[in-house]
Amino acid sequence: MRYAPKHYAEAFATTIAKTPAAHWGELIKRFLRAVRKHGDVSRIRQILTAVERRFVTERGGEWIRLEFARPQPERALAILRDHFRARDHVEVVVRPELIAGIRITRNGETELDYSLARKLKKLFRHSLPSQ
Amino acid sequence: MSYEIVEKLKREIAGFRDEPLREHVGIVTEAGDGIAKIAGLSEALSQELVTIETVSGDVSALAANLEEDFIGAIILGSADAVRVGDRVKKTGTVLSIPVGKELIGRVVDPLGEPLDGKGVIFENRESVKRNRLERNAPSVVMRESVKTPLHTGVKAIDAMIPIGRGQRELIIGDRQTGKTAIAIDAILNQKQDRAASPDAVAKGGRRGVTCIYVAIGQKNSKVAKIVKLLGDQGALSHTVVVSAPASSPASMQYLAPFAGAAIGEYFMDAGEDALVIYDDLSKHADAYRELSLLLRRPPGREAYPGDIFYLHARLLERAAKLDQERGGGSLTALPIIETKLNDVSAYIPTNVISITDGQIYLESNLFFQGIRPAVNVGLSVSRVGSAAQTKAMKKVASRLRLELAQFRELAAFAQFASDLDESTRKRIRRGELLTEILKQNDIEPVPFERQVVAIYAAINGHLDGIAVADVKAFEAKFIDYLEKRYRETILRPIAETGEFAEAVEGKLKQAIEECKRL
Repeated sequence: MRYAPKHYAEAFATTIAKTPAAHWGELIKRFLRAVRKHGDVSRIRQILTAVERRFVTERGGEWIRLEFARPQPERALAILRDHFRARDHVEVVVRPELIAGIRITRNGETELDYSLARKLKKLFRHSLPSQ
Repeated sequence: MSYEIVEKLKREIAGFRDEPLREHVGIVTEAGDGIAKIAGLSEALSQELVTIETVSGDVSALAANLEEDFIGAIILGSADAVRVGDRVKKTGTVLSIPVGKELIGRVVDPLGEPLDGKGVIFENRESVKRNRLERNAPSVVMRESVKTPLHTGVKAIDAMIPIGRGQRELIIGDRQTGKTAIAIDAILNQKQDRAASPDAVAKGGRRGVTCIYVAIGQKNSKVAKIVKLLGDQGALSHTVVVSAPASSPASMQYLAPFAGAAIGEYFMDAGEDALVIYDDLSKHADAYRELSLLLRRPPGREAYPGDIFYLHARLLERAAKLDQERGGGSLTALPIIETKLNDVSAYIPTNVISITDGQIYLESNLFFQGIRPAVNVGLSVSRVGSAAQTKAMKKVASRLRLELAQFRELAAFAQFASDLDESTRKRIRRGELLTEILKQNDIEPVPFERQVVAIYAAINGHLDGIAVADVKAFEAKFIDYLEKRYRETILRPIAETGEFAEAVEGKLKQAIEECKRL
């Protein structure tokens, strides 16, 4: 049976909560050994994301993703980050297909799309109704 | 000209207002074989349409499995374009198909897109009525009993296994036994089996029936042949073809019968009569099995999913005869099931047999003996159709089933007996004559009044003196004679009133004797 990333995250989070900080290094090693043993090394990125998400939600935070068409100056990003709480996880991604503007996604579920790509798409739909 | 275009576009852009809204999104985490696994979209509804934003444009998908962490969706468009990481958005709508009279004469896919190259179907698609592919069947109080006949033009069926408007009659048999031929005959016959004018309908005459032929998993060449045949015979003027051929994805094959039902319901809701043919539900079950296995649903008997019965039951329950308050329309369903080696006890055949109101069982043995249509009268049954049979046919054909049953029994017995008494020989001979008279070529549906007179002549011993080999020739001559000499006094009264009055019977006897003397 293959374990889902969320199962790994659950197991890791509950174990680390009970383990003294001095032993965390050993715990992480064992965790990675378990992942390898179950043949899930190829999914390590998803597993780590699930672990990270788990910690964020555990402390009552939200997973925020800010997407821009091109890299933003650090000062602008800092202003944006100030709008979120310290317990929120804010990640910044560059997606050239947005053309311009910003797209904000919360917990991978809800989004606010201020990108030019969306506006253009909507404009084309508005001007050329599909047959 | 270009200046005008630019100005028009400028005006449209200037008038364009866009306020971004909070939207629910998901991400494709797995894609392949026409199925996408989507993370997020936790508020998606079952059977909701979602849009996958791929690099080559938006692709629609149907939310099929709602699980704790992801949803399994059936991709409805180009599955190759969907990549892991593509964004998915909810649409808040369920799958629907544009419906209207414009569909008549057209070949469409299960999403209502034209396949016949005749251009757009609806001029203004925004204002067109849309019917949901999945809809609840009419409830008990919305229905009334089946009471109007739906003539197929096949003598053996109209006489012994009558079908009523609003009924669900299964056509079942092995491959190459003439299942589709019966369905096509039924479509062709609707052209000739309708009252001549609206006045005649008002007086109780039969209304025309709009037919929907749903091809599921059929070869494209077969569908093309059927469409050409319907066109050549002038039947496309009352027919819609929904095609999800074998080359189309399983998702399309799964949706095709529901699209056919949705189109049929449009006519039923408008107070008209419709006939929908599902050709065939075995392939539909196979397509659904494929999707279910890909969606990782647990397999049951013969690897079909647990809800395969519900799938076909909810589809066929949509066939109904509505009461007068709701317009009195009807939707008749003729599902087709292909059996393997005449095994009617397999999973899907038994399911559909139990759902429908009867079955027409076609046997390959009969087919190869030259009995065509190869209807096994003993195993075929119509549970509600007899109430809808016209009085004329009921009067003439009431003894037919019994006579044929006795003939079959005696014929089996006679194989071992060398010496038979006179009455047995007579019965066997009568049975042979009746079997012969029930034979007919495909694409040649027989009008109901002609069926009545032919069966009357055979069952009452008027053909006893004719050699079995000459029966078909005599029948053709007799019908021709009636058309020329007795059209107004025999055929028309039967066709218009549906009754077989004594005066007509007297004239018919006289006509038979006259014809025999010719």
